[in-house]
Order: sequence, then C-alpha cells, then structure tokens
Amino acid sequence: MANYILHRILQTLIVVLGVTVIIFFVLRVMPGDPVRLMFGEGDDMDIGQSRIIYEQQLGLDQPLYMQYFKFLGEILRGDFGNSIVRGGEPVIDMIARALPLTIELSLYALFIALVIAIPVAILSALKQNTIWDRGGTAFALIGVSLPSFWQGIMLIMFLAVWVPIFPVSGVMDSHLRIDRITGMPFTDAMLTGNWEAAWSVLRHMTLPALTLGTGICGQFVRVLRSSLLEVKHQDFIDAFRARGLKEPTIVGHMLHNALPTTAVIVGLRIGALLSGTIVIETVFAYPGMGFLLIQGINARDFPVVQGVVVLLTVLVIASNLIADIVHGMLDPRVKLSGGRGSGS
Amino acid sequence: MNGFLWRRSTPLPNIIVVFAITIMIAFAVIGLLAPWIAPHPPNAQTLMMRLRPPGTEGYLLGTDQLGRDVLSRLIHGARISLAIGVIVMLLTAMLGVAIGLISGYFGGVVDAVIMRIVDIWLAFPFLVLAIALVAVLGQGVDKLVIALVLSGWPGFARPVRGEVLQLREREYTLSARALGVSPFGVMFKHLLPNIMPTILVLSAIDLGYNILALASLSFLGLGMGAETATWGGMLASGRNYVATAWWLAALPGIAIFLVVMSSNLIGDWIRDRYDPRSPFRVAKNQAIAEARARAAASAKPAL
Amino acid sequence: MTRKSAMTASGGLKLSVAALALALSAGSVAAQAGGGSNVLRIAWPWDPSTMDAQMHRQRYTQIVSHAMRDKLMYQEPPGLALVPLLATSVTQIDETSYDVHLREGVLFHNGDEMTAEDVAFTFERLWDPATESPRARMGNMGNIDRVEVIDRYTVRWHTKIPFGPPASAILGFHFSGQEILHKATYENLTIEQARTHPPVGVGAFRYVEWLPEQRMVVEAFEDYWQGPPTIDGVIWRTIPEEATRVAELLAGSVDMIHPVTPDFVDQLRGAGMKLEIVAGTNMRMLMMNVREGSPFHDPEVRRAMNMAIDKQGIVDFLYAGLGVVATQVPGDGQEGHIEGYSPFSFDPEAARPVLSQVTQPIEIFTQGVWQLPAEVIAEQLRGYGMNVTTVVLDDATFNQVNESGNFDLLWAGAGYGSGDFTGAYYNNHFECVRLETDRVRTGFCNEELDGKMAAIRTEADAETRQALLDEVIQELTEVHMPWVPVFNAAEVWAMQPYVNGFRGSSAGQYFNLHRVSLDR
Repeated sequence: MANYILHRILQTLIVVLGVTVIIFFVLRVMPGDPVRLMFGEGDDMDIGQSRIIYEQQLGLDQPLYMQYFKFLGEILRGDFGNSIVRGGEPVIDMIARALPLTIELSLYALFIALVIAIPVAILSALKQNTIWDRGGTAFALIGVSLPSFWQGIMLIMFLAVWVPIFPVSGVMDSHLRIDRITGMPFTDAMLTGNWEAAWSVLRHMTLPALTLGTGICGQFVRVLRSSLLEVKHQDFIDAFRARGLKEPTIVGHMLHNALPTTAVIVGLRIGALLSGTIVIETVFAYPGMGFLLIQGINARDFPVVQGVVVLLTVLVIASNLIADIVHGMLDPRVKLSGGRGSGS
Repeated sequence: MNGFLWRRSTPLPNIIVVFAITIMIAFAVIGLLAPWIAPHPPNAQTLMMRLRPPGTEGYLLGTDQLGRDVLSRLIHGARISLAIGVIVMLLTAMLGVAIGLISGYFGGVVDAVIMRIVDIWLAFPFLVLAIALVAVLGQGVDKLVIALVLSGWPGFARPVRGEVLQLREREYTLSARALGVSPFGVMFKHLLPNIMPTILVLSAIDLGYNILALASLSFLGLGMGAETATWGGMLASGRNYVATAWWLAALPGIAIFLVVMSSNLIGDWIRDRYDPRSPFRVAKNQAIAEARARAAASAKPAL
Repeated sequence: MTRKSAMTASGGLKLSVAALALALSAGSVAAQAGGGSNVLRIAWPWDPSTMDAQMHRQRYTQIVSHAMRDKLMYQEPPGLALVPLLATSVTQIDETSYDVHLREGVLFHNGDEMTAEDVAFTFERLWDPATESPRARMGNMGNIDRVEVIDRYTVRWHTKIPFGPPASAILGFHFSGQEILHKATYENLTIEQARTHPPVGVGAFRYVEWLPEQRMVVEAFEDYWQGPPTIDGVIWRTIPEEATRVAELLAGSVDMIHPVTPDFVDQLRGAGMKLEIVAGTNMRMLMMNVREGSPFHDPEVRRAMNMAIDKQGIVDFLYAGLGVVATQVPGDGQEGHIEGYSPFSFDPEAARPVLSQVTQPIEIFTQGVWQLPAEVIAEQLRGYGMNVTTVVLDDATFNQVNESGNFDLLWAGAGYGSGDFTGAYYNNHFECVRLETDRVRTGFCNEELDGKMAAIRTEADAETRQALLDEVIQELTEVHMPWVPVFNAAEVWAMQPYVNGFRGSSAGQYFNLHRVSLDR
C-alpha cells in the first residue's frame, strides 16, 4: 500500500515537472513578449531604452534556463511569481480569486450534466434499441455537438435578452457583496446567510453551467447507459424481479451497481470540463481560471499563464487520482484485478 | 480478424444512424465538388450587397459582412473544415495507435516512459495545449493540423495501449511470438485487427471533436487566417451579427452541429455494433489495464 | 443598508482590508446600482490592473485612475489641445527650467489641500529607480533632471537639455499622463501596498471597491474642485466578449459600453441606443516594407498602392460612415496635419499597370479587430492581379512582426496619445538611428528628414517651425510614401438613451464623467 502511494506520488511529481517544463518553454517560444506589448504605442521618445530598463527590472533579460530554475524554485515555495501586466500582483492571489469560482461553476455544471444524464440513461437502458433509446442518446449529444461559444451566445440572446429570465453575464448583481470564506460565491453566500446574493449568484451561474453541463452530459449518458445495460441482464436483477420488487427499486439497484464506472468517467472528464471553462468563462465574463488563462495568453503575461496551467493540471491529475481511488472503493472487481496495488 | 467475432448480433442501422451517415456522405460530396457547385467564388466581395438576407436575388442564403455569398462559403467551408477534420483524425489516429501499440507491446521501460509523457499530455486541458501550439506555430492550415495532431494523439495512445496490454497475453499472440513472428508482425497482423473497433470509435468521435476545436480556436482568434472559408471561422465572425443577420451565425452553426452530431452517432453505433454488452469497454479496459500496470510497477522492489 | 455595506466581497485577501475600510462609508453607491438609480454602469473589456497610477501603461487603467485623481493638464478631445487642470500656467525661467503654477484650494478626498509638495512628490516617486515605474520615461521625461518646490503653489522643472517654449515643453513633461498623488498617503506605502490601497486623489470620484476582473466602483466626491458630479457614482464591469457587452446593454443591465466595433452599430442603432462618435486619432495605414528585395522597394509601386485602394468605400460600407478617410501621414486632429492636403486620389486605372506587374505572393498581416478592412484591401489588390492574402495575428505576434519589420504589408495603426508629431516621428520609426536598434517597421529612413525634425524640435519661431513641419510631412506622404494612409476610425461609445452629457476623447478615453447625468 505504502509502496503504491509512494509510486503514485512519484509519478505525479514527474508529470507536474513535465508540465512546468513544457509550459515554460512553449510560452518563451511564442512570438511576442509582455514588455513589448505593454509599451506598445507609447509616446516615450526613447521607447527602446525604457523597455530595456523595464526588462532588466523584471529579470526577462536573464538566460532562459536561469529563468526556468527561478520559476521552479518559486513554485516549490508555493510562489507563482508576480503578474507583469497587473502591476506586479502576486499570481497566487489571482488564482486564489479565480480557482474557487471555476470550481463552483464546474460543480454546478456537473450537477446539471448528471440531472440530464441519469434519467436519459435509465430510459435508454430500460428501453434498449427502441426509439426512446436512440432518441435519448441523440438528445444527450446535442450539447456536445455545438461549439460552446455559440451555444453560450445563443443562450444569452434567447434567455437573457429577448426573454429576460437570466442575467447576461458576470458573477452577481453589482450591488451585492459576499464575505469571503471559501472564495466560492454561492457557498459563501449560503454560509453567511446572504440569501439575496446566493440567489443572484445561482441565477448568474445558470447559463454558463448549462452550456458547460450539456457539453459533457453526452459522455455521461454513454457510460451510464452501458453500465446499466451490463447490470440489467445479470442474475440478481432477475431475482429481484422474480421476488416482485417494484421497478423503481430495481432501477435503484442497477444505478448503485453502475456508479463506480460513472465515478471514474466523471473523474476523467474533469479535464474536458476545465477545458470548456476557457471559452465559456470568456463569453460569460465569469472571472475564473479560463478567463485568467485567456487574458494571460493574450497579454503574454508569462507568470499568470504558468501559474494557471500548473494549477489546472494539478487539478486534473488529482481528480483522476481520486476517480481511481473511488473506483477501487466502490468496485470490488478492481481490487481483485489490481489487487496488490490497493489491497496489500 | 478475431475481433470481428466479438460481434454478437448485427442490428440493422437504426433510422438516426442512417440519417447521420447520409449527412456525412452528403457533406463529403458537397465538399469534394465545391469548386463546381458553388455559385460564387468564396472570397468575391460586393460591399454594396453586404448583410443581405437569404433569398436575395443571386444569393440563396444571403451575404455576409463583406458581401460574400454565404452559400458559396458554406460549400467551400465543407471542403476545408471536413478535409482538416479528416486529415487531423487520420494523422492523430496513426500517431496515437503506433505509440500505443509500441508502448503496450514492449512494456517495461518503453511503456513507462511513454505513459509518463501521455500523462503529462493528458494533464493539460486539451484546449490549453492546442492554443499554445497554434500560438507558437503560427497561422495556416498545415500548422493548425500539426497543432491539433500534437495535442490529440494521447487520446488514441492510451486506450490502444490498454487494449494491447490485454491482448498481448492472449493465446494467439503468444503463439505468434513463439513461432518467431517479428514484433512488428505481431503488432500489425495480430494486434491491430483486434483493436480496430476501438480505433474506429475513437476516430469517429475525434472527427467531430476536431471540427469543434477548430471553431473554438477561431473564436479565440487563433483560427485559419482571414480568407479561408471555414465553418468555425464563419461562426466566430458571425457571432457579432446574431441579432441583425441571424443567418451568419445560424447556418454554419447548423452545419457544424450536423457533422459533429453525426460523427458522434456513428461512433456510438460502431461501438454498439461490436460490443453491445459494454459500449464503454474502451474506458473500462483502460482503467483495469492501468490498475494492473500500476500493481506491477509497485510490486517492483526498486522503490 | 448599513449592515450590507459593512460587508466586503473582495477576492484578494489584502484588498478585503482596504475594501472594508471604505465600505463602511461608501457602500450606498454599490447598493444603489441595481437599476433605476443614479449610478452609471459601464461595461468594458478591461479591468484596471492596479490602483497605483504609476505602475501601469494602460489607457484603460488610466481611465479609472483619472476618475479618482486629476492631472496637471490634459488634452481636450477635438484637436487634442492642452487644457490646464491642476496647473494653471507654465512659465519658462531659462533654457532648462520652467515654473508650473498650481491651482489653489483644490481638495483631496480626505480634505487636505493639494500643494506643491504633493506635485513634486508625485514626480519624484515616478522617477525613483526603486519604484521601477514603466511610466518613468514617457514623453521626454528621460531628459528631466529634477523638480523643485518653490512655494506652496509653484513647482520648478529642471531639464538636462533645452525643451523649447512652454507649449512644446509641456508635451515632453508628459503632464497629461501623470495623475497627482497624495504625498502623506503614498510616502508611507510600499509599492506592493500601493497596488491595492484605496487611491486618495483630487478627482471627481472617490474609491469604493475593486473586485478584480469583476467590477470597479467609485462614488461622487462632493468637494470636487470643479463642482460635485451629477451622478452618484460609477461602476465599471469587466466583460471581454463584445457580443456579451452588447447583450448587457440591450438587456438594460448596463448604461454604457465601449469600445464598440462597427459590427454592432446597426444593431445598437436599431435598438434605440445612443452612440457617442468621436473622430479618432488612431489612423489605420498600410505599411509597406521598403527594404531591398521587397516588391515595395520601388517607389513607383508605392505610388500605385497609394492610388489603388477605395478608402471611401471602406469607410462608407464597412464603418457605416464612422470614420474619416486619411490622405497624409499625420492623422486628422494630430499636430502637423495639413488641412485639405490630399496628394493622391483613388485611381484604379493609374494603379493597374504598375500593380499588375507585382505577381509574387504577398501577405497582409493584421489583428483580429481590424480583419474586415484588411480583407477588403486584399480583395481590391487582387483585383489588380496581385497575389495577396490576409493573415490574422494575435496582438502579441502582430506587435513583434510590426517591430521586427518582417512583413510585406502590415495593416497597422498609429495612435498618438499626445498629438505631438515629433514624438510620433520617433515611434513610427522614420528616424535613421532607430533602424539598428528597435522599431524598425517599414525600414524607411531619410537623413535629410531627420535633420529637419531635429531642427523643428529646437526651433522657437512658430512660423518657421510650421513651415519645416509641412515640408517633412509632404515629403513623407508623396515622395517617400512608406505608408498608404487609409482612414481614421472613429472611437464609439454606445449608451442608453437616458445617458446625457457624456463626451469621449479621440484616444478612446473620457474625462468628463462628473458632467454625465442619467435622466430616466
């Protein structure tokens, strides 16, 4: 067991190290640099000189490998450097602001995806190969098949402008304030009993979460349906049925058995979910990690992009790991087949 | 051709799948014939005739913000978007499958190294990698293809390796090896046919994904360059006219939707056809194979 | 209401302390913003990057900064004339020293009167190497020696080289870009603290809260030296996607949006929104690479290019008339612009014989926001038989291409913040010494012109100066022709019909929020 955990941790470290190398050097070979962009069309009479001085101040004139080791050293101390564009704001502060927003949005999207996926999957599995099955799976694929920015803008036009049910964009109405506890606006509003703000946040998150959620629910339907089918014909289900158990109870048992695989898939889809936030947060002006990333890339704000990417990847790796563990706990077969890993 | 024996029954393609296949074939034909059937050159501008609605004399589906014929651009867009989608799909599949085969077959150090690289790759949200690569490589069809292939291959490599890990211990593989068939012979003659269904499923879904990725990159300003008519590019620039010229965003949106939907449905159908019991075999096998590999690795005393 | 205002919603940990400090007194502005109130809600793509006026170089950060702090002088939108603000006048003492006389009785947000000490401190802090300010050398400030307090309302500027008469010296001093800080507050703050510390200025609005990437809130300052603002406060919301900003305006959840691209003008007009349109100083031009080996090395080709593009068509059809055709190197409203001077006209027949000989593949590089006109130009050039394609680059890449001179045709822009042509001459790189080091661009330079520009900078006689300037501009425009000037795009703001009194500036900024009123 200890061996296994040690091994996993070592693996994870290698992956994170690889991520830092790739993102650092990819950013440095991208055309354009932050200082040029920042000084842009300035009206300094000696703009070249101004720029050189500023580059020296930022340490951008150092050799690349030196900059990399400095970056690595900072990360090890939990420091992601300072934003070049945002007047030297520590990147860790920016992430502390953005990450909880993205997490909350992703959870809401996950919730929406499951709310759609579970009934559709049950229907498809119970009525296998009928028009319900075909139609259900096709329905679940609609969201996956639309470019998310387009879906987002359409939702805004239909549900916020022409029929104003939801707010257009942002995190909450601009007259509201929420005390920071976790940084997740809805959670914090609930924790402090600020119902008005909680309601506002929920309304603001609905359209982006819907866009994000429909974008992944097709996968969930696929997995859940197949797991249900697998269980459907097993002996114990037939036995339940013979004993005269009600259909909903039997479905409940089937669902219970299908959960492990679903949990794994949810874990494995976290990457796709976060990928989706990049575009959606920009459309809905929702300042999470994806928003930071795009702003950072556009301004070539290296420390911000590095920080966001390293953290996002750690998040993906961690969720995959958790998915593995959950799968192992819920599904005895994995313990048997991968036995020595988690068992001994 | 052992894998084909897994097939339990041969359900006739259902109505929706027939529809999906028809759409794909139709768009492919339209794309192939684009230069001959498009009523206008895709870049011919008539500034005086900008933003005309569908049904305008001579412009069946209206004109865009530069007075170009939307129908002609959609037709040429089919050619370019599908061509890129298919080329990226083929290259990604070839690269990913080759790496997956090698990794799974040889195992050991090779496998460990390749899988760590795959892990690193998969840790990046796909779009992050694509954005970074496009930004580094620059604009242009060739560079976009390279960027998408480079960011997409682990999606094939990992499931393929998972399958190979299982198949490698099967009797026919073992006997082929015992008979002295070269590693590459075993891989291509014995393993590859058996994982074909998996590859087909992944490919079908990848095609749709590539077209969506192209659209997302266009939205982020990292698309193909201005003049190439692509659906994603049309959609990205049409989004500013949702309220005034709905056809600019709606029509390419529908085209993308139909193709991506079809490719997903076809992928699902192939999966169902070859293994109706467990359509998500790919992911499961992967999970199980990984658990095994991990167990094997952790059993080594070196750590 | 008071309980709600006592709560702070800051994301940054440090910020929350600052926000809490002011939230008590100022929460009512934010609380009113729901709608139907007297607070102006603006949606824009940016977020101020810092609350420190000296640690950024962004126009948008300066818009917010300016709302809270005033400058010594600023530039009035039409024609960019310098208008005294906190400085009433500047007198020249000798070749290298100037006295700046300050307005009396101007109050900071905390009630202190602004004095020469504050002004001197502002500039000393700016130039202090320890501050590491990217603004420190704007204008010609690299050549300023020091500032000296003469009395409570007078500050003396000492320069290393002669800066000419006060009118041109002020441009070099860059007064229009430097907001005055409150000495007693800032001398005790570290640079890191100043980044988020609530600004204390003499501006029309007082800081309320800043939720980075979400919103920036300010409230009216009753003791503002130009009289109390008409509105109770301003909220800026950060929305990067333009389609979303337009949707917010249409949904009525914001009162004003900017910048507005021509794509949306029809839609906004159709929905009854009010547009503020100001002829911009940002001129769009086609830069031609004049280096050896480029097809545009030949002046005849450049001459033909100057006659080949239907500029009026672009302005009329693409920009719905929101722009002015450019015919010369300085833009409309910029120093050096010669009224009515238009050496070339649109003449396809004259251009065709020359351009049809240019057959090698040529790329026009452009940025996403300027893609449409670039595509139109490319199509028009293709009409002459040229093999031209448009390539869209992201801003950072475009910038690099621009400065490395690695292009055939560059669909570029030049905005001259200060309106000073001598500065523009440097930055747009007509000067030979820059060819080696930076800002190479078209690769064009001419020693003779450089000499004339040097003379202009020190020339005291206004008429001689003007004559020299005219000469330089005419030679650039019709003899050397490194550019095809195409048009000046207008700066556009869109707002609800009940927003009155707003005036935009030609550089995309706005300085008169205190005169805006909401008459629902």
